[in-house]
Formats: sequence, C-alpha cells, structure tokens
Amino acid sequence: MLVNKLLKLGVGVKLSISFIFIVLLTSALISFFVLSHLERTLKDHIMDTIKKEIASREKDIRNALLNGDYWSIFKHVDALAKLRGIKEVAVVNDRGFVIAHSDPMEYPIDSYLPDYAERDKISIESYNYILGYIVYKIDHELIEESLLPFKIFSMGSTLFFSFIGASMGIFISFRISTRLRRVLDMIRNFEKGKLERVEFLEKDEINTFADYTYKTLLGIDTMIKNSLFERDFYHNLVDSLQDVLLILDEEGKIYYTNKAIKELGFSYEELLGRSVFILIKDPRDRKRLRRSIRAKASFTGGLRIRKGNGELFGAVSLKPLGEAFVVSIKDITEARRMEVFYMLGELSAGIAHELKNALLPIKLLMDVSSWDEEDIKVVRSAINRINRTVDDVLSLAGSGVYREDLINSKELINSWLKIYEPLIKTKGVEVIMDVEDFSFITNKHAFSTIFNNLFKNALEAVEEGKGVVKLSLKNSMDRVLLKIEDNGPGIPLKYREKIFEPFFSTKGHMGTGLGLPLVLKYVYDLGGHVEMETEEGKGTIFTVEVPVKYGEKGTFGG
Amino acid sequence: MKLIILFLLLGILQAKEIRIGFTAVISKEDLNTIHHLLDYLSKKTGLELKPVYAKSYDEMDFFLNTGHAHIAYICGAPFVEGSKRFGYKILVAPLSDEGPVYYSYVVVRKEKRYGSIFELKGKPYAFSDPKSNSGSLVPSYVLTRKGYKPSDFFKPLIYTYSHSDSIMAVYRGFVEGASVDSLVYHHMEKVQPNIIKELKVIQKFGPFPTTPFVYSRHVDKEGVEKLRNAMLNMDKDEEGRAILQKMGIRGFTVISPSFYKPIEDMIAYLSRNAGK
Repeated sequence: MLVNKLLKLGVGVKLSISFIFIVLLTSALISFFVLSHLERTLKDHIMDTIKKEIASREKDIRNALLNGDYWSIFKHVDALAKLRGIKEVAVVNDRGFVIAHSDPMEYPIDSYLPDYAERDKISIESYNYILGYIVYKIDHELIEESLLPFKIFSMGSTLFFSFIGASMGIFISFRISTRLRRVLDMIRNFEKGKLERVEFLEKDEINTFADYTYKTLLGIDTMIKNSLFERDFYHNLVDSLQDVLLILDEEGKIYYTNKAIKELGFSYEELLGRSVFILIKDPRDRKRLRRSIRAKASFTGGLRIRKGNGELFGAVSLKPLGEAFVVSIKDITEARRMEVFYMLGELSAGIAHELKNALLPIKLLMDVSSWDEEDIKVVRSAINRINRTVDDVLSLAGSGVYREDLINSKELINSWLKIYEPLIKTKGVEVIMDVEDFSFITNKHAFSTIFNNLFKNALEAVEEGKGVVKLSLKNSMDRVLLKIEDNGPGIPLKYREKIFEPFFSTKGHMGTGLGLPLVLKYVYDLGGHVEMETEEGKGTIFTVEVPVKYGEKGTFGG
Repeated sequence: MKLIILFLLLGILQAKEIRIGFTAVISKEDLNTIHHLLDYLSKKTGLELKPVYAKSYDEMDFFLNTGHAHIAYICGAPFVEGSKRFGYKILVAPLSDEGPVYYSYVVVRKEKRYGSIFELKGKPYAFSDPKSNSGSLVPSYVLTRKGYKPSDFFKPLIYTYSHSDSIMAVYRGFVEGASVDSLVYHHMEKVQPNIIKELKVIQKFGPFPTTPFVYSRHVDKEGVEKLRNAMLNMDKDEEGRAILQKMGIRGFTVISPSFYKPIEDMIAYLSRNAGK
C-alpha cells in the first residue's frame, strides 16, 4: 500500500524525499561516526594525558613512600586530584590501605579502600617489589561536559548542512518536475494544435529533452500536414476519376466509393455498409462476382450495372487487397458501340480481302480460252471459298433471333465426334469425355457453331500423337456448361487480346479468322459468356456458359 | 659628599655578598616579604644581601657550616644545638606582642572533640621539621614526659617541614592534629583567615624563646653590626614597619643566648629519654 502510494507521487516529491533521506542519512551517519570517533579520540587523549601525568609523579611518590613522607605523597595526590578530568586520587599500600587520599576526610590515612583492585591504577614498584598503587578515578562526566559544546556544534552544523542540502534537493527536484511539466504542457498544447517552444535557463539534459521533443513535434506536425495534403490530393484524384471506385470488405460490403458513384444515381451515404451486389443488375453476374469474392480471387469482366432506373455495361475489375477488395467500374457502353463500328470496318476490309483472294484464280482464268479439268476444279474451289466466307459473314451478322431446338447432350456430341473422327484418328488425339445425359432447349445452329469452332481449334492446337482434348458438357440449374480443354502450346500473351477479333488468325490460309468471333457472337446472342484460361506450353481451356430451357425429348412442341 | 662617595666605593669594593638563609618551615609562603625585607636592609646597610632557601634545619646547618649561608632565620632548638656544635650567634630575635616569645600550639579542626594532644593517640599527627622547637621538640617533650614515644603515639607521625603545611594538613583532614608555631598560626590568621576559621587551638605550650636570626662564624663582623642596627631600627620608619607587619611581628630585639635555656633543657631531657 505504502509502496503504491509512493509510486503515485510526483517526480519532484519523490526526488525531494530521496534527497532528504540521503542527505539526512549520510550526514547523520557521518556526523555520528565522526563524533563518536572524535569523542573516543579525545577521551583517549585526556585519559592518556592523565595517565602520563600520574605516571610522571610515580617516581617522586615512590621516593616519598620509601621515606615515609606522607605529606609529600598527599601533596602529589592533592595536585593530581586537581587536574581536570580526575575525580579522586589515592595512594594505597600493597594491601589497599590508604596512605594519602584526595578526600582525606572520607578516606583518612590507614582506612581501607575497598574497591582499589578494580579501579584504574598505576603500581608503585621498586625493583619489582610493589610498594603500593596510585589509584585514580576519571571524571567521565567532566569529559562529557567538556565535549558537549563540541557535540552541540557538530550536531548543529550537521543539522544546518542537512537543512541546506535538503532545501537544495527540494529546490532542484521541484525545478526538475516543473520543467518536465512544462515539456508535458508543450505536448498537450500540441495535441490541441498549438506548438510553442519551451526554453529553460538550465542548459542540461531536460533542456536537450525539451529541444528534442520540440523538434520531434515539429517533425510530426510537418508529417501530419504532408499526409493531410496527400490525403486531399489522392481523395481529389480518386474523386476526379470518371470510373467508379469501390472498396469492399471481405464480405463484399461497400465502405468507400468515390464521387463517380453519383453517375450511377447513388450516393456514398446510401451505399455505405451495403452489399456491392445491389449495383449488379443481372443475378448471374452477381453469382459470378460472389464466387470471386468468396475465393478472394481477382475478377475481370463486363457486367450489367444499375444506373438509376436503367443500366449500363461496365468493365468491372475486382482485386483483393489484403482483407478488402478494390473494385473499379468503367462505363464501356459507348466504347462497345464504338467497337462494333470498328469491327464493322475491320470486317469489311477482311471480307474484301478474302473475296479478292478467292476471286484471284478466276480472274486469272478469265483470259484462258478453254478451261481444262484442272481449271474447273480451281474455279470450283474458289467459289466454295467465296461461299464459305459469305456464309460465315452472314452467320456473324445474323439477326440474333433464333429458333429453339430440343437437343440431347449425348446425341449432339456423338454426331460431332463422327464428323471429326478422321481428324482425331489421323492426328492420334486422345479425347476424354465427361458428358452428362440430359436434354435442353436452345438454338442448335448457334450452339453447334460454338462447339465446332472450339473443338476444331483444340484438335488443331494439339501436337500430333501427344494431344489430349478434354470435353465436358454439363447442366447446372438453368444453364449449360461446355468446357473444352487442350494440352496444346497455349496462346501467347500478345495474341490473347486479339483472338476474338474477326480475321485474326494464327493458322495462315487454313482459317478464315472468323471462328472465335463467331463463338463470341453466338455466346452473346444466347445470353451466355465465354471464359478463356491459357498458359503457354500447357494448354488452353475455353468455358462456355449459356442459359437454356429444359424439356424432355419429344415433349418439346416447337 | 666626597666622603660619602668614598665610603660607598669602599663599601662596594669591600662588600662581600651576605647570604641570608630561610627555611620552608617558617616562611616559604612569603617570598615577597623576604625580598622586601632584604631589599630594605640592603638599602639601609649598603650590603649586598641574597636569600638562600633550605628544605630543613638540617640542610640549613649544612649551609651555615659550609658558608653557603652566612645568616639564617632558624628555630630556637636548632640554634641551641648549633650554638654548641658550630658556634652560632644570635643576630636579632623577633618581638611578638608578648615580647621575644612564642608558643607551640596543638591545632585540630574546629568540629573535632579533642581536648589535648594526648587524646590524639593513634591518630595521624603532623610535626613540622624534626628540629623545630614548636613543631616537634615541644610536643615530643610533652609526650615523652608522659612516657610516650611520639613516633609510636601517633599513627602515623607525619613531618611536613612547614608550619603552614601542618596547618593545611589539619585543615584538609589529612591529619587529625598538628603542633605549630604560634607566630605562623597568627600570621596565617591574617593572611588566610578562611583556613584558620575552620581550626581551633586545643593546647598551648610555652612561652618559648622566639625564632632568632643567627650568624655563623664565617660572616664579616662589620656586616653583622650593620644588619643588626638596621633590623633593630626597622620599627622607626614607615617602610620598615610595613615589612614587620607583614611578617607578623612588632620588631626585632637583641637577646642573650641564655634565654634559650628552656629549650636546651628539653633537648637534654629528650636525648636522655630517647632510648626508652
């Protein structure tokens, strides 16, 4: 309890107590030792002097004793007894009978001095024959008395210097605590936003401490100002972005958005703490996004985003950032439209180029007067090529309104495999199938084109004799999942962005460059989406997910 | 005038130093008075006088015989012995109120109940010098007359070699009693009344012939006459009287050696009975 109380005391009080304690303890101890030592020394000195004085008379007393000169002995005794510090002196014979005593009334000649043996005494000897003793009693009180002024002075000066020492201690310690308090006040004022330098007369450690504290606080102040500036800078920067920027927690709840959110008709306040999914219009898109959030994986894709009562098409990028996610939404509705125009241009040029190439042999044969068998074969081939190109272009530019056909998964796959069987066999490709048996309703042409192109690409991609193509067709709720995986060389990074563009081909004259654009078109037309995963040297996976209707075979009416 | 100067010169030339002996027995406390006296007498006589001090009468006898002292102030008893053995002559004798006489006092502390010296048997007792008349001879005589031997009678018998020390020894209680010179006793009564106040005289023997100034045969006769003259006339002038008063006497007189017969008789008695 006492220790706790002591610990709670201020620095000044603690230091003061320590000072007083140390000063009093040391000075009291020192003065005690010095006093007692001096007292002892003085006493010893006095006693020594007395003993010497007595001893110096021993010879005279011995002679007087031998002569029976009582009076001389008495005079010696009397003179010795008058010395300061001696109470009484007696000369006794060897049996303790008084020869002369300084108090003769009390101890007359020949009276017995009872305690002579225990007293301080000097023996009077003559050739080792003891004639008697000089017995004396030291006046300790008188010695004490004579030491008293010295003691008082010493105690007084000890107390005085203790007082001075303690006062200095108190002064110094309170000065220290006052100065520390001023430094503390400087820090407190800094918390309130005011920073004033504290200076002291004493140029010691506390002053250095105060200076250092001041400089540190000044540094902190600068840092705070800088970071406030930075915060505002980045805040403004983020707010000036046209893209919507969201920060989500691990469950997908919004806890930050930039100003661009207003473009979507929301405010930051109404979105704070709500799920990001309220921004996503299509439930399927929500599902895809949710999967990425759960897996803490990145997501990139085009999603339909709510905008007021309408919607926009947004390029959405979700990236995990620690426990949170950063989401950016870019309105690409316009860009998409622009892309169509761009594609149309590209397409026209492509068509022109293709047709020009196909017509070239015919143009050359125009000048030949008669066509032989070979010439006719060339012309037929050119016409076929033109026909195929026109068919593809027509398909690509198709209206998007399709017939609905009832399809059985197994039957569909088997019919395709028959078509590709010669290629599979010649190339020695291993086809691994994982096809569920189910029926669904979709446009057969569109779905077949998607499958044809992807499967053909896979077969063409793999190396002869080593190729493996995995084929999977499954249904899940209201959609069909088609997955075609090959162990080919994969798509190089530089081509990945371009593979869905029309007339882009890595196959030279073998392909029209319209295969994958057609896949993309039909997937979109059917309301699904396509994902591609590829790794150079390992292979490529295409996953197509399209919504379908279900029906038993034969029950579908049209 | 010329005669006087010549006389003085002769005096100085002739002047041998005359040494006057004093014993501690009588006068050791009063050196001042002794110096006054000698200065006074030198002035009166033109003699060069110098004091010498002896511890005891025995020592003084030695001084007188060897010429270390020419004149001495000694007790009647040593004079009696010395006059026979060494031919001491009387210079002058001091005069008390009663004449050239004094007493031997038996002194004890006031509160003690002793009535006479005989009641002090077995007690510590102080004699002054063994050769002192009042301080040794008289009490020895008195005790011997009664058949006591002083050294056995007192336990112990203590010699202080000074009347004033004997008085002091009684005063301090170191001895129960002491035999002292009445002149010294009364002189002390004047000088140290606080001591005498505590004491009383229980017995008084005498009168005895007073302590004389004696001279040995080594001394110059002319000087002796000058000194005697000066001393006999001391009470005639102011300075002399002042010195006499300090000495506790009225003046000096000339007495015949036969005056010391009683002392001589006591000595004779004691030497006859010493062996008993």
